Amino acid sequence: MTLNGKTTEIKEGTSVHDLLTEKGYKIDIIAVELNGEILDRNALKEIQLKNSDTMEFVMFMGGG
Amino acid sequence: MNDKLIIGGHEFNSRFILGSGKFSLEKTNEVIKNGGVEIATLALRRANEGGSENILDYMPEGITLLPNTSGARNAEEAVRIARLARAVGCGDFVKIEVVHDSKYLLPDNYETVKATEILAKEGFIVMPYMYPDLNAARDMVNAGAAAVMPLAAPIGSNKGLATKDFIKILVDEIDVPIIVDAGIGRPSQACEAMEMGVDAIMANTAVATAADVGKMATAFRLAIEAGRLAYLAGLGRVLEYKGEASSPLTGFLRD
Repeated sequence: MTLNGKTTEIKEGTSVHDLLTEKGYKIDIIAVELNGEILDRNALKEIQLKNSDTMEFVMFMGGG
Repeated sequence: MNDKLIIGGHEFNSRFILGSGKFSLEKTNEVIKNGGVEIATLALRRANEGGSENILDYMPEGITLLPNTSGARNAEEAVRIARLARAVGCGDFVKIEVVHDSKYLLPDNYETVKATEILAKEGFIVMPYMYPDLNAARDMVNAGAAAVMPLAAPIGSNKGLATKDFIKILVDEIDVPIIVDAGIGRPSQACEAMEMGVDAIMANTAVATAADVGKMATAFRLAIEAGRLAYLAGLGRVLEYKGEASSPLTGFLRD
């Protein structure tokens, strides 16, 4: 799948929640967009990923 | 004194908005405190390091977060960023920043109007960063902007009030708060803008590039307060072509 612009192989069916928490991200400070749609934070455990997906996940940083 | 800054129905005591870029996380907190800042901008970027420190941990309780759409080159990208920012869950404010000129970093007013209209309809409190053009400002207000943020000079330049006369036109003609954003380099310039009737100042580089960042935040706070007070006091008149004695014209010690 494409994850933040990079091609990466994932185990099909992994939930968005599990993918992000395995990578060490705190769910409550990020927003997720899957195949162009912004996901509801409460639904991340139910949404399962495929290797054909494109996902962006973002967080706040300092900026003017 | 009840002289609150009201943006989108929200009231603020401080007229100093901080851009949070270019600071270390620890300094961010000090600057916010010293500056008496109640609104701080944030950028939204891809999260690429799990577990690294998060700027939200350094934002004091009660501060209003103002995500910007920096990185957006057109209205569509700005709208996408704004929606993602809101999904993080830090409120409905958004600063629209649409820049596709990488040399001067001047905003695209036209794309900004388009993004303002879409986002205002979605319930965002929209604060567009713009080049001071009265027509564009009117379009932004008609599109639902809660304030307009005209630039003083290019982002990061510290050049000062290069667009002063055109900001003054906005002060005179636009009904929503006018917040000068970008290019202010010194507290005196912030003070000058406030004396003119501008409603608030946003600064980032001017503080971040100072030798003592904490002190400079304090200086900006004081300058913005002084400028506002001077504006409310009513500036004295200017004599263009003559002087006028300040001491009595009679009783001189001579014949």
